[in-house]
Amino acid sequence: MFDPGELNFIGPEIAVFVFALLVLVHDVMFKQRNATISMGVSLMGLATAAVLNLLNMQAVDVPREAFAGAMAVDGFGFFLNFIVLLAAAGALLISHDFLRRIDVDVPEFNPLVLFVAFGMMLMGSANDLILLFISLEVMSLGVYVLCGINRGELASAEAALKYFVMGAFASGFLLMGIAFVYGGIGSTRISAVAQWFAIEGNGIAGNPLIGVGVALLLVGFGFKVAAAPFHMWTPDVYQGAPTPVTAFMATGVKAAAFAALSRVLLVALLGQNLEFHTALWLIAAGTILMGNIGALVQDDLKRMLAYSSIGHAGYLLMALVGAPAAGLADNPRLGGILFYLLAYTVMTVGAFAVLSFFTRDGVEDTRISRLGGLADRHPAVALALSICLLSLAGVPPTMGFVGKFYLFAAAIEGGAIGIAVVGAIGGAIGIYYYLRPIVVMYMHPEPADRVELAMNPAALGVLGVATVAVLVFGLVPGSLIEVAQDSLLSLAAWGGV
Amino acid sequence: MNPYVPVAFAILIAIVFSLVFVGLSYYFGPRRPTKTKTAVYECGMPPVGTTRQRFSVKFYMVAVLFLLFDLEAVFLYPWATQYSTLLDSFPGTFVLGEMAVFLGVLFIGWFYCLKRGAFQWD
Amino acid sequence: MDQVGLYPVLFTSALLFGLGVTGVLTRRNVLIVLMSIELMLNGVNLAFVGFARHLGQVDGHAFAIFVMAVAAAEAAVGLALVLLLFRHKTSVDLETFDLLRG
Repeated sequence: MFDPGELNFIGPEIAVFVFALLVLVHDVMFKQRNATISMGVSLMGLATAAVLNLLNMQAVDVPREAFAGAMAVDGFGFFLNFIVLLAAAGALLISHDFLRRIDVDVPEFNPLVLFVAFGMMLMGSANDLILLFISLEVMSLGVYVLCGINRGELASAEAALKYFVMGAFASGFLLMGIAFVYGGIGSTRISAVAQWFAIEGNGIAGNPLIGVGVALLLVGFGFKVAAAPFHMWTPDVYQGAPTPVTAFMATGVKAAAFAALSRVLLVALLGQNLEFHTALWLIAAGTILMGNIGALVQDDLKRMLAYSSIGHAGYLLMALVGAPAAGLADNPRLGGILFYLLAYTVMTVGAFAVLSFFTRDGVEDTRISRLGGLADRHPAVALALSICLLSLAGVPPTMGFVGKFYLFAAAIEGGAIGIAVVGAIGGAIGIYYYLRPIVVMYMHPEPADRVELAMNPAALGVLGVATVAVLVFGLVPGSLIEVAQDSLLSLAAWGGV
Repeated sequence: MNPYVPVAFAILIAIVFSLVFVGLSYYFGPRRPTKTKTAVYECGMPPVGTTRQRFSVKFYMVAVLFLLFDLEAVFLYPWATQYSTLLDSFPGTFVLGEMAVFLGVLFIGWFYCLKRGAFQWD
Repeated sequence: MDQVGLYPVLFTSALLFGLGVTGVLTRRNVLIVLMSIELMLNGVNLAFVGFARHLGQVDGHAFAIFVMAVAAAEAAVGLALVLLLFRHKTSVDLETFDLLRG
């Protein structure tokens, strides 16, 4: 029986969706849309969602199901909602002036960002694989369009098509995996899968249907989180898409896809992870190495950040390799996954805010050499970008360092020493390529044909907030880490183990 | 009664209606026959242009819009067929309201297309 | 009533899915790639319906409807993107889209 009170649990999602519709109607209603009003209403929607999410977080102590088990109401979902809302707000603020500069005046942008955020939020709390798939598509379809929003630019259109083909291909695999799991177990509820595995004698071994299903699921998720060997599309797409969209993809899409993957791995397949441990190990190691080595040789900062985002997905997978088969409570450091997703979102949005300043006659120019002399011209911006990059490299005392520390701790406590060593090698490479832009900013002269940075208050605000957050939570991460750990442990309520 | 009788009736009605409409247009429609119009089609005419003509982007737009709005209707059928069953376990306002919300969202989509000029042919 | 068992359905579904995957991987024409992706999704639909019949549940049939709707939305976005690129390049050959290269 349906209980209207359950609607409260998707309050944040409903808020984002309704505001998206409002913005859409407003944007197409008038001949000359008011970009400021559109932006304001969009941000209001995100703020409303954040408040509702906070209220839910306080109201729900014990994880529970909603909508006949299709949705899991737990700390994990709440935490992800915050990450998504932050990423969306960051992308919107960066885009405000940027879109005007590249001469893209379309009414679709803001509503699309909100619709995508709506899909991401549902993804984080989907307890049903079908709901997960649909919310993933809501997100993906929106992001495909956002990638190609700069219609006049060939690179943008090409990135959109590449992303679309790869994404749709991956969705096919994911869906086939869901179908097989459904066929083998008779339910698509993630918690039901966990309960099925908890029954003595049920396992991946001896059930080829479910084994194939899980493998297909992993392939599909691998594409979505850009894990090796399914990462080839990432650099092209990230480079071709307009910078605010890239920022949103690197943070929100990655966080949502990773959250969904974590929920499947840590709830449904926790007791079974020995069966595909080697596969996960190899994927994690490959992702770390491919991402970090690829980033070494890039001359374009945006492309470099794309490769590095692959590397960061690798670190997160590294922590998942250390997931204990006996139950999540055995390894509370796994909370580092959520903390790191948040940290990565904050520092990446900061870095992309600076990147969005580099346009030239309406065309983006993000070569690293363009950074030359930035420290002399705009010392504050250079300092902020340096802090974000150092945080991405994992240098203390930043949020990135704390997050990475917990990821390594999770892997080591889970007995995955080998993958931690690979991660350390990746981290060492990372420090080199993250230092390069900083060296250029501080040591190199300005390029001869320098252009004024297109600085604007909204993006500068994002940069400032991100930088301060990176430092503050790097120095005093205590309470945030606790929230992240509690949120991740809330997943244990679903396990059959 | 044979269950196929209604089907037969449906077919009969369809045939009658189509005949009636064709007849009406035949009776009322203006006819100005010219020599070319009444000429019998002949083979061997020199072809005009290539067969691989590119057709206008507008057709794609219509096709895509049709695809989307047509497929949304797929959700109406299960709801409509199960309507009375749903009433057993849910309040009527809820059963009706849920579809109203769905159609409302769809309507906003339609409104967006309208305002963006997607339905304008020229 | 139940003349067709689960395995022929699954076999056909896998065949469709495999054809789709092969098409995506080997074809250069974007439109054919789009069709192949639809073929993959239809293969999945068949699997869902087959499993639902086998399990005696309605859920699988409902999933198939969801998947159809998603597939339509995907096709719409895909076609729009192909048109967008066609205006730039006057081509639907994937190999000509090589501006972004690693």
